[in-house]
Amino acid sequence: MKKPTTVHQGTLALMVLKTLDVLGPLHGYGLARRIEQISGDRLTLNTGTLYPLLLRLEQEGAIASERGPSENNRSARFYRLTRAGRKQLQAETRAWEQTTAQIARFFAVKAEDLP
Amino acid sequence: MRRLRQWLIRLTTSMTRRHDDTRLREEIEDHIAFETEANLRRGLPPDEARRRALLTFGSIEAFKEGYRDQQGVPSFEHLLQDMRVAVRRMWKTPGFTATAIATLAVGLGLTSAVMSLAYALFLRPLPVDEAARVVFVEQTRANRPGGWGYAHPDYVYLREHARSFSELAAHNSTMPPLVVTTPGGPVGVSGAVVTANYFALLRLTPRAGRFFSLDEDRVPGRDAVAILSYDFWRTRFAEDPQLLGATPRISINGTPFTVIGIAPQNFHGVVAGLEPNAIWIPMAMYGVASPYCDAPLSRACGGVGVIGRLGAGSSIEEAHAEVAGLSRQLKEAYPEASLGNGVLVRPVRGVRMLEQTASVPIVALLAAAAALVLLVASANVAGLLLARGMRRRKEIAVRLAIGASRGRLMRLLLTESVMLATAGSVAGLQIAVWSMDVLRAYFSNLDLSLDPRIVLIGFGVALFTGVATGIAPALQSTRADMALAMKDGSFGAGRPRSIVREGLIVVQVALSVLLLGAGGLLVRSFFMLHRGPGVDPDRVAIVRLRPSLVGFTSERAWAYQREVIERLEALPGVAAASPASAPASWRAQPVTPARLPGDSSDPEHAYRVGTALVGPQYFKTLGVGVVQGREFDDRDTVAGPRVAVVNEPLARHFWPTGGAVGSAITIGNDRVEVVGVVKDLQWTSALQQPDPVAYLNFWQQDPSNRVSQDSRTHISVAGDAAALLPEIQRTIAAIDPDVPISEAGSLAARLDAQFTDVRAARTMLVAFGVLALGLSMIGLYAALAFAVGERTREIAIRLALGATRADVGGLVFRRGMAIVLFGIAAGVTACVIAGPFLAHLLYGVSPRDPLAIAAGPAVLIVVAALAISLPARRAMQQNPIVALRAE
Repeated sequence: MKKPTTVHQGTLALMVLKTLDVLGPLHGYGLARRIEQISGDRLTLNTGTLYPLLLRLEQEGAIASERGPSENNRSARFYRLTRAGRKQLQAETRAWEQTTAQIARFFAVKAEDLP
Repeated sequence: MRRLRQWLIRLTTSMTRRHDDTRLREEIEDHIAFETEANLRRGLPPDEARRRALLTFGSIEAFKEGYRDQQGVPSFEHLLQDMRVAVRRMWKTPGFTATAIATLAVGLGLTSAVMSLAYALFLRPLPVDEAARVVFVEQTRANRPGGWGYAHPDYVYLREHARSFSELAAHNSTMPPLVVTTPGGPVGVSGAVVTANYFALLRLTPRAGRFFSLDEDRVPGRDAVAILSYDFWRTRFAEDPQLLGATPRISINGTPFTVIGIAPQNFHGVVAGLEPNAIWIPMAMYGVASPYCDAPLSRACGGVGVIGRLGAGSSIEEAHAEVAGLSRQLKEAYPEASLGNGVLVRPVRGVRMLEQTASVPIVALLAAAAALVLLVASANVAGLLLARGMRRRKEIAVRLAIGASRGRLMRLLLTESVMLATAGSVAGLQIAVWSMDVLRAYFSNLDLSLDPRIVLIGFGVALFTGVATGIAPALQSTRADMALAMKDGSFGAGRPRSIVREGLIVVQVALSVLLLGAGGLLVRSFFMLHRGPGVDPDRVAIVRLRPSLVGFTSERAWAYQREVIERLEALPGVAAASPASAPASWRAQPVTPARLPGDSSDPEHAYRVGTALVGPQYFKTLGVGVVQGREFDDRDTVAGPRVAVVNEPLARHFWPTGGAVGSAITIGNDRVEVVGVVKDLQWTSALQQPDPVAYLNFWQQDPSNRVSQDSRTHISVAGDAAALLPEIQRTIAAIDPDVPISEAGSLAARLDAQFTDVRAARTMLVAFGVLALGLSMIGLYAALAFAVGERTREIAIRLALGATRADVGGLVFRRGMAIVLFGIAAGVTACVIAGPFLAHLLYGVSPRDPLAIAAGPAVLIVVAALAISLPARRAMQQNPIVALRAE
């Protein structure tokens, strides 16, 4: 059995923001399923981390929420990205890309490449 | 910045906690509902769908906790949480809590009180402006402790030449006290003669009136002006403003004086520790205060104390160097003067150097005793916390198992310890206040009060004790093997741990025995003081009569003294009366050279003896007979041959084979005939040897010497001397109401006052010893009760296998008694070693007095038997079936 990967908090926030950016407003359950789906079911989300994170992101102003009807007519809380959240997403995406690029360069390095 | 923002957000969220909680509960419900629906769609039956949903979600409580930790200010909230838990736990175990708090309180309270005493004696500054710049300027002498004054002309020389001081003043507290007339009759008060610049140097402002002008201290005997202390003015003159003014309203030692000012309320002179100064007169009026010297300001008479205020920019070291130089010049100019060989310049702190030196042993003793009690208390609390830590292993293992971090657990345990310490120090404050009341009774001359800084230090010590004694059990508890502890607490109890616990009890018992032993020695010592050298102090009254103060001629004074004796002896209940130069309880210092006639050796190296002047029937008055010969009687007159009575040490020195009576001896410059030998009549501590004393006849003194008119008259009473005192005073006052009667009291009261240190040490040490005993017995009981609880299963098995209840009880009892006997053995050894350190306080009792040392352990064994029998009974009454089933 494949061991489920755990998600670091900083990365989970980025995933949440990106998912909301791409898919528009979502409720918590949907968000969790979507993230797992996007990861190819290689991620298992800990609900104990997700909901507090949503609350925190909202308190920080990156996302906003309101209650509304869900696809099967249940009432649920829908989260959407705010302008501040979008800015934060852009900034963090850039930072993340820089980091991965740097790490990638390190991984690509071979002894003979170095003078 | 960002951190700060986040922290602020968290802080606000911890305020809006309730709102978030509902929000989260809502989200959880939604999430589970969605999951259930998804499961239903997958074709699961409704029950199973919900169960699975709940299962995937995981622990809701863990969820909430994780969320809370992220949201609020965790450390702060944890602290509140821990404190709540601690309070709840303290409340649930009142016995433990009360014992721990009381134990800490006792240790801390006593230590703070003794420290406050030491502060008042050695460190407290004067209540004046820039007190640190005010210094005592004193001389030191080789082989003599403390600092000494300067002769008045030397002070004047210093004042005129020293540049490191902005001002130098002289003062001298009056010994004997000044007799001041008040509306309530004459009273003897301690006063001081001071130079006119004294108050200016201290930068004090009068409460009323004014201080001395420079002119009032210029011509000897001209300006009879006085300043009263506020307390004296309030208690004796009801703050009467009419007292101040231009006309003399009081008299001091018979001379009319005008009161010109009142000193500030908290000022009692620069020499704390003696009686606080109640009145000040100019140095030029010294003649009124000192009956001993005709020209008190000359070099021939004793010294004056010198105080100075350091000038701007000069340090104590510079002042010291300068005064040392000036003193050398003085010594060269006056080689015959008794100038000291060193100089001491020190801040005016605490009491005078001589009293400080004298107080060191008693303060050291009390401090050591308080430290021992604190040690017992700490060992006790450590034992209690340790035992409780063991009892809680199971609980702690459970906490660890369900995910508490070790750090978090440690914090919880430490919070409990700190809270105990805090409660302990608050209670300790109360104990300190009570102890101060006790100490105040013995050090009545000192203005004793708890210093806030000492209270703070005590609190710090309490916290440290709490944390230190809390950390060990906490460390031990969190290291507990979870599986083992959860399975069964009683199997984890290893021997090493019980050895630590029992070792702590042994230490406590030993220290208690030591304190009780010291207390016992002092109780015996105080008892023997009152037995004294065969004198019953309750049956002897002493009054001081000073006709010299009211200007009697010597004939009149002597007639007066004779009439006093006649009238007193006629009084019913009085067996005999006799004048003497000093109270019987005083030790005559061996300073007078004595030699046999014909001995022409160097008088410098002569045998030195103490002398005392006593009248006829003196030894009968004290209730001690002569060993050989007779005491003085009416045959010995001024005109007749000079006679002496000597004590046994003196007689043994000169006449080892006997034959003292009838022999001649030279005492000082007087050739006298020995008419009797008496036993040694001195109160000597275990450190002192009885001194040789020669008693000379009071009526054979040189009548022209003014001081010789005065007496301390001893009166032998058939019954309680204190009860007859009013009658005695009335009888004397009837002869001449103008002659001041002072220091009236029984010899017993005088002994109490004279041996305050023995009394204080006795009371404090017995109290400390009893406290330590109580603490260690509580500790013993707790340790055994804990051990019985821990061995429940073992005892049950023993009983099930056929041991009798007596066997089981004996098991516990023997264990307990072994601990106690170990402790007693250690304690008695400590007593035997420490006893000699008390020798200076032991009168008529050996430092290793077996009775005094054995009393403590005897009491202890009885109390210990009681403390042990309770847990032993519990062990005996155990029902093996119930105990085994409970496992």
